[in-house]
Amino acid sequence: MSNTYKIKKVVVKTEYKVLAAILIILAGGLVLLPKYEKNSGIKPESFLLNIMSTERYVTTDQIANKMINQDPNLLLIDVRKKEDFDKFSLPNAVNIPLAKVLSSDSEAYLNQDTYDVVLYSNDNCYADQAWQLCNRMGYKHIYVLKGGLNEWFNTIINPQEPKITDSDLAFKDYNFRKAAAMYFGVGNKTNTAPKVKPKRVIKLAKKKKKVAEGGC
Amino acid sequence: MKELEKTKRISFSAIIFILAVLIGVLSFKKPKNIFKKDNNITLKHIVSQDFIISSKDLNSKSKKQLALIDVRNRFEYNKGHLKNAKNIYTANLLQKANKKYLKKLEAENKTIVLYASTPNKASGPWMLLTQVGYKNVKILCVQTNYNNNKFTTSDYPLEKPQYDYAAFMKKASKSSGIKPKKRQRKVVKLVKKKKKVAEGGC
Repeated sequence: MSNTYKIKKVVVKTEYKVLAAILIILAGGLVLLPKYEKNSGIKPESFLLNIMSTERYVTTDQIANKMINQDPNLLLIDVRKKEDFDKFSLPNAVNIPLAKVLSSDSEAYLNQDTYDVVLYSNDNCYADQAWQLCNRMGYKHIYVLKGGLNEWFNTIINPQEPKITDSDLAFKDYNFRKAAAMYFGVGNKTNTAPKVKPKRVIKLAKKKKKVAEGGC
Repeated sequence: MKELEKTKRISFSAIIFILAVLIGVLSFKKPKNIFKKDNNITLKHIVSQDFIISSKDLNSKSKKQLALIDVRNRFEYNKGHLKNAKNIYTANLLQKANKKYLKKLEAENKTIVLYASTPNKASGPWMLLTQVGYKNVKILCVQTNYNNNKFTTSDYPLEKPQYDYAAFMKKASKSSGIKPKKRQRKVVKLVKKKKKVAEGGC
């Protein structure tokens, strides 16, 4: 009976010993491999491509259209300072000053996929910089209002009258902008009828069918 | 016989394992470019706007300290560019040759000054270079013009509101007599994305 409780001496073959030693050394080597810093977010090459593409811009007409149709997916974010925001901003916009773009509260606004976020400021620059920061972190669905509030004022609130020589599209845009201006609280007292491009009158001389002269 | 089978199996699997590890080690590529600087550092720069210089500062600094880089494409560069400016198109910023050139400038302690047709177009390259690790990069706040076959630059009013918005809107709504409807402030329900802890292994 004492025999069965004897601990069997395990004779390990030398080959197995060598094998085990090699594997342990390899494992140790893997741990000691030089650590290459990994970045959170996107790679520099893709960042460069994103900087160069103009996909991120939305025009003032598109935004005005969305606001008038009360698109529920739109979220406007003003990146100027709080004082500028309090003085004037687009309706229903949220203020996230540039300094706070990376804070954890603003992450809730920026790092999500329910709303389409449009950043704007007085002019492209600050909004673009905020967009670049967000892009590096890998946030999606973020766009920039091209021209910012300066462009907003020049197109929607105070649109330029198209000249007679402008295209039909220019007239269409102008009428849309005038209507949009009224939605946003600007307009003239005088009832301006929508401008119609004067139709060009082309006088055609009817060609008289000439009877064949002479032979058959 | 059984013993032989066992040793065969073990040595076979061992060889495969070692091969796999070797292949993994050899194919381990160091990423070509990595962001060395954090976003927060660039944010500090952006908020203080200390990386923008005007053409006045450009002229006051000695030529030896500066290295002008034109980040437009080569067609625009060939039409006209600032004196002593080297052309590196934005898309080529991360190429080997240009990286070498920029590193050389860093070693010589020169300030790298970028410019493009508008400062906005130069802000992207600026952000890329600062985040990859170059320390002394600035933007020249000019817009380029091309008149009468002459290339000129003029100061760009960065982020200046063209109108006093509030006053304009007040005047406009007064004259129209239309009272804008008071729309309810949109309630934005946001779900904070929970940072998912990596499940399982490392």
